[in-house]
Amino acid sequence: MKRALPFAVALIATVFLPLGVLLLKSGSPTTWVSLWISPEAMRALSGTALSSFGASLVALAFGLPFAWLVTRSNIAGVRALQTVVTLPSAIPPYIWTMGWIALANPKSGWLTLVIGKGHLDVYGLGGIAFVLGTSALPLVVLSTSAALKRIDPSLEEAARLSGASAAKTFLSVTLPLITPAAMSGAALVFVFASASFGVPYLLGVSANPPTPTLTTRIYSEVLMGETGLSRAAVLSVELLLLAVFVLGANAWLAKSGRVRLPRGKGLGQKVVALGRWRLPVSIGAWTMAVAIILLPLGAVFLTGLQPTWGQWGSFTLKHWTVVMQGRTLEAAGVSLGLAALAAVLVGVFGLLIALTKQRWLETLADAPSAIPGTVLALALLVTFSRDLRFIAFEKVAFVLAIGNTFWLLLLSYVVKHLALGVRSSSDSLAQADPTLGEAARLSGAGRVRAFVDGILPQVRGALTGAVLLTFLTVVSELTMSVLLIPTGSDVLGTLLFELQSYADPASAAVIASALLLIVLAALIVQNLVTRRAEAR
Amino acid sequence: MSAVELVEIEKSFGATAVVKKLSLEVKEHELLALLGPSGCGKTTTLRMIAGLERPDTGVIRLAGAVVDQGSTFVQPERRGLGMVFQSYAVWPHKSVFENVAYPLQLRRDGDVEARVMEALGWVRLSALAQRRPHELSGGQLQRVALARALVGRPKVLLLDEPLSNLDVALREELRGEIASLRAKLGTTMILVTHDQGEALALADRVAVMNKGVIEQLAAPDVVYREPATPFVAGFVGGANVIEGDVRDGRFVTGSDSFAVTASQSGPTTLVVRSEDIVIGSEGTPLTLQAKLFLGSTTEYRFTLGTNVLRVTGPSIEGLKPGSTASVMMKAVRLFPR
Repeated sequence: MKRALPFAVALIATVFLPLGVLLLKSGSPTTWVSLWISPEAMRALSGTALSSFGASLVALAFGLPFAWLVTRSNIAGVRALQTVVTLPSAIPPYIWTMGWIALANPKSGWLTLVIGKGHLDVYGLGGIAFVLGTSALPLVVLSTSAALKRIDPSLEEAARLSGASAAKTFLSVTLPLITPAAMSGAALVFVFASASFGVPYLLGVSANPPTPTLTTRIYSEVLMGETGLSRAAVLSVELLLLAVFVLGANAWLAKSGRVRLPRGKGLGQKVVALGRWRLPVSIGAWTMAVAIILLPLGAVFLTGLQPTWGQWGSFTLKHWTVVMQGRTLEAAGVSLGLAALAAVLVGVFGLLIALTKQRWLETLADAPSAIPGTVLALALLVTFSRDLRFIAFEKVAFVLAIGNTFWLLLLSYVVKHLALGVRSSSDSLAQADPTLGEAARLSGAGRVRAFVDGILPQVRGALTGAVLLTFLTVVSELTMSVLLIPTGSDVLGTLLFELQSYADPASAAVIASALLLIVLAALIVQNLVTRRAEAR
Repeated sequence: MSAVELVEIEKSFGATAVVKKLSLEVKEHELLALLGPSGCGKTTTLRMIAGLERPDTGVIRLAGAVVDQGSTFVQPERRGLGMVFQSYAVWPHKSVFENVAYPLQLRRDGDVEARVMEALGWVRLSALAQRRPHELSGGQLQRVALARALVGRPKVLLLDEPLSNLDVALREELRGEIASLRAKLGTTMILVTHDQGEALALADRVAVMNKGVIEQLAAPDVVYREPATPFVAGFVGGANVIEGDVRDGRFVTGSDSFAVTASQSGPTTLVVRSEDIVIGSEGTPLTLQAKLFLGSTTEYRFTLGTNVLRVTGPSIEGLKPGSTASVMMKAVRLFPR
């Protein structure tokens, strides 16, 4: 309890107090009604709600079949397919957006030209929902295939013996049993989509008519300075409430559904032989996976190699010089440095918080991960920035002087991803064998030494995973960075965003390609490390 | 006509042969138990009858009709069977009533409600029809599974270790219920179990399986009294199984020997039940290793060569570990090796 207190105070000061400030900024009772239900606010709210709902449907429509195919069928190349459909979790959504813009913009997209103009337009609500849905595919695939693996095979066999065909068994037994997992996956997609900034900005702002969402609207209001701030605060609160509402509704549904999956005997699921359907199903699934996942990534690479944007078929390396420009190198240096620092801090603080073994503190540290990045960033901005300071905190902000510095950005990265470190530490600590530490104590080791020798080796694997994931997410972070980046500086995300939306999509594609190569290299390294650990 | 007939069934998983050239006939209205240790192939055999696994070679017939032979394969749902699983397999998203009604609904049989309530009556669960599975105990769940398997009046009921997830008291209660349901409905049943007590108490005939083959197929009392192989003797009733040689009318193992009536000589396995050995003044002197009080009897463990000889009988005052006593075998069976 005593050890938990400093962490609790720090979290309250850096997350919950700023949220309170944001709430105060959202206006006085007299202005609330007009601000909260103004036509602009309603348009942004409905844009977010519709695109996020659409994204959930897209993720379910693709995710359910893929989940079943990779866990239960003998489809060709099942392991490779599994890697491909979970790939989006490691790649920032705005990179998919860049790929889809190159493929399906109404004027010169490659697919547009193949199909014929007038049929394809990636801009607008539908495009936003599709891109967000496909880039959130792993959320549905992973939760659903985990449920599919957990079902006791005899539940399905009992249905067969009762007279149900294989198809009827799937519909009446398997599907109802995986529905809760699929629904909570879809709820996560909704929250992910509603908090997304890059995708709706790139696809919504230049759409005809423009399609605002809460996050893009907040960004525009913040750019206006002090005058837009209370409107931005109102929209932030609406966004936060939407996320809380969806997560709460999902938790309530999961509880009232009362479907508990009994643990199987660990028999391992029987693979369904597709028989003569194997070839057509394999071809269909692979075509789909390539089309929605690999094609846009390929388009990003190719965009960086074209002499003029939209001119398909000829190649040049001239855009790649952008990688060596001072501004790019500086942004890369800042991003890599901040990501490394944030990742280490998430690991260290995550472990320390988990070690207090206080559930309430873990919940407190988990909460920021559910807060949309835009909301968190805006709260930090209004609380700590000297330009936009809230009057009561003038002195504190002045003393801390972290507004408009990289420290505020680092703070936002750490609190937003802290849950990764806390959860992985507390899960692996719960599974760790305490007697190994106790044996070290009785062999003469002190408290710290016994922890390092006895317990830490059991936690290290999971913690390393969390640190690596934080690094990968932060290195390409955009949503919070656009609001908190010090004037005149860049991180990779904001540089990419600026090049793509205003100046130079080809250079943006080159930097995105370089980023993709880094991510793929990191994934391969991680894969090799886990494989070696498994082999041992 | 046999209810179930297996002809030279073989089944391997990868390189391991699980069932080897197994043939078996189950008569109508019979309860046949497949008894054996884990990994002996009994569950695989049952799952092949159900159609949940396919044999590599062999023929399976149900009521005379081929259901599995070469390219002929009747899907499990078309075999008219019922099955009860070790893990209950009661669907957690359906109520007790919905679970039991499911087979009837699939067949679009009429009068679902009355028949479900009748089946629930058989297993004394009428009062719990509207409950959800997570509100039930293990014993109640297995009764739901039993009602669901029987509600469609299957030709054959397959029971895969139905009682082994239950505690001892419930096991005995449910064992009695299976017996009375069988008497009432006359359903042919195949029971897979590793519990010899369960097999002996319920079955008309017991097939003792080991390493993919049936070592003995006979009535329970025959299996118990006249085991066909040393394995059956050791597994059913836990007899002493001792390897040695017969020389000049004596069974010799290590430095100890016993008088036996044997026509042949040479390497022999001796089987003797622990209750068929008397401790007294006559016989072979052996050293007592340990003494275990079991309640109604006491078990004595004697050192016999490199083996342990278990003897059960009344408690004997003054016989302590380390002391020597004379031991005589009353009924032994000899199997030449």
